[in-house]
Amino acid sequence: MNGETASDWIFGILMAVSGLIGLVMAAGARDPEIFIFGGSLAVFAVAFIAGLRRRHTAAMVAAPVAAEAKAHG
Amino acid sequence: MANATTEAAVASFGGRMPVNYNMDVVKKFTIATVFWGVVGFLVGVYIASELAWPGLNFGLPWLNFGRLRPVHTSAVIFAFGGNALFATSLYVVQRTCGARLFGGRAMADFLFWGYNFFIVQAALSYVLGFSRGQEYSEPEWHLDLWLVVVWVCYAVVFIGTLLKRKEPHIYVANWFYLAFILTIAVLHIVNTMALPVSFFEAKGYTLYSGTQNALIQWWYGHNAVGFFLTAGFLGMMYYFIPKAANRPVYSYRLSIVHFWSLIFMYIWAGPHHLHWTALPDWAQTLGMAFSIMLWMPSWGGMINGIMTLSGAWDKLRTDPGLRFSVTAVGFYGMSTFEGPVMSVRTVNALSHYTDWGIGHVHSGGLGWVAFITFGALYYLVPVLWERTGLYSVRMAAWHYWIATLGIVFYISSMWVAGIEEGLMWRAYDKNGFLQYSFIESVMAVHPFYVIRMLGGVMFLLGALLMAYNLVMTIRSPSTQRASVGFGSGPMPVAAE
Repeated sequence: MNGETASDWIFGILMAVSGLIGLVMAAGARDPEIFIFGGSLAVFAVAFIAGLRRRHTAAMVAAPVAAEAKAHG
Repeated sequence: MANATTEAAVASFGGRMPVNYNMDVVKKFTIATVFWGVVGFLVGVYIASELAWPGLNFGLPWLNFGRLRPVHTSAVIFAFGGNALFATSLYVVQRTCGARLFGGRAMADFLFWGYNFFIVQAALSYVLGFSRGQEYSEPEWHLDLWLVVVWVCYAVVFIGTLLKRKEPHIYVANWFYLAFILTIAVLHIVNTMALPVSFFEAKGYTLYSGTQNALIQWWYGHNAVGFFLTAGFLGMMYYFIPKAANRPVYSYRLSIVHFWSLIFMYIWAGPHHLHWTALPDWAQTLGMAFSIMLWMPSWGGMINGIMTLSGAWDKLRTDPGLRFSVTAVGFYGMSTFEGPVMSVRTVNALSHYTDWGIGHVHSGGLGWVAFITFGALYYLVPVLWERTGLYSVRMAAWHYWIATLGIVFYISSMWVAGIEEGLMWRAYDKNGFLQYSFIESVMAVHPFYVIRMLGGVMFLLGALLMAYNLVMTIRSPSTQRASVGFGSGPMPVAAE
C-alpha cells in the first residue's frame, strides 16, 4: 500500500466514523444547533467519501491507458 | 525513450527528480480566501450600518448586531485570514523544502473541506444564537472538537513536509508558520476546555471560572492576535516580499532574532486586556511590561520587511501587489506602536471599552493582515494558474488606493470617536456627578459611525475589484501562456 492509498483509507474511515457520529447527534438532538451540525456532518462525510471513490475510479480507468502508452514508448 | 526523458529532466534539475507539488489544495484555499474576504467585509459593512442606524436589524433576531458581529469577526479572521494562511503556508513549505505535501491528497483535501465546514457551521451557530460568549472563541464544544481534528491534521501535514524536505535549511517563513500552527493548537485546546450539558445539546460550560476564566480567555485572545494574525502573516511577509521584490531578506540574522524574541514576549502580553479589573495588579503590570517590550521585536521585523526593498524601491511604481505588501508592513509598524501605548494602564483607562480599540484592531486587521494577504494573492494567483501576469495592473492599483483611503476613513473616525467617548465617560460636573449619560456619548459619535461605515464600503469595493481582477487573470485569454507545470520549473530554494 503506497502513501496515497493509505491516506485515502485513513480519511475514508475517519469520515465514515464522523458521519456516523453526526447521524447519532442529529437523531438525538435536543436543540436545532446539534441537529444541523450532526446532519451536516453526515452529509459532509458522505460527500467526502464519494469524492474519494470518484478519484479512485478515475485512477483505475486511467491506469491501463497509461500502462499501454508506456509499453509503446 | 522514457528513461532518456527522465534523465534529461533530472539533469535539468541539478541531479534531482522534479517535484510534483500539490498545488491543487493551495488553489482551493486561495479561492476560498477571496470568497470569504468579500463575505467578511460585506457583513462588516452591514453591522457598521446597524450601529449607525439600529433599525437595520428589522427586529429579526438573526440580524441582531450581537449575532452578526461574531459572524463578521470569524469571517475575516478565521475564514479570510485562516484560508490565506493555509494557502500560503502550504505553498511556501512545499516550494522552500522542495517536497510534495506530506499525507497524500486525501489529507490535503480533508484540510480544505474540513476547515471550511467548520467556518460555515460556526457562522450558522452564531446566527441561530449559540455562542460561548467569549471573544474570538465563540463556537460551542462540538465545533471546537471538530477544529481540533482539522488542526492536528494541519500540523501533521506541515511538520511532515518539513521532515521530508530536500533542502538542508528550514527557511525562516516556515518557522513563523510552524509557531502559528503549534501555538494556536495549544491556545485553542486550553481555552475551549468545557463540559457539555449533554452529547445532544450545544451548550457547554467552561472548566474555568471568574477571573481565571477571564485571564485564560485573554491569554488566548491576545495570542490569537499574536500567533494567528501576526506570526502567520509574518511568514507570508518573509516569503512573498523577497519573491515579489526579487531581493533577499534584508537581514536573515534579524529575522531569526525577530522570531525568537516575538514568540517569547507575545505569550505574556494577554493581561493588558484586563486592566482595572479584578485581575491582580502584578498580573496587569506583567502584561503591560511585556506589551511595551514587544515594541522592539515588532519594529525589528518591520524594518527587516521594508529594508528588503533596498535596491528595488522602483518596483513599487509598477507592482501594486508589492505596494500592498510594503504598505502592510507600514501598518504593522503603526499598529504595533499603538498597541503598546494602549497597554499602558493610564492610557488604557481612557481607551478601553471605547471605539479607539476598534480603530486599533482595524488598523492591524485591514492595514496589516488584509493588505499583506492582498499582496500575496496578487503574486500567487498568476503563479498558481500559470498566467503571464495580472489581468489588469491598473485595476489592482485602483484597489490599492480605494482600500487605503477606506482604512484612513475607518481608523481616523474611530480614533476621534474613541477619545471622545473616553473623555465623556470620565467627565464629572462640579457636584461630582457624571456629566454625560451613556446615550449622549452614543449620539456624539454618530457621525463617526457613518464615516466608519463609508470607509468599510470603500474597502469592500476594493475587494470586489480584486475578486474580478483575479477571476479574469485565471480566465482571460490575454493572460494565457504555454503551460510548463510546477514540476518542471526551477528547483525552489530558500530565499536566503
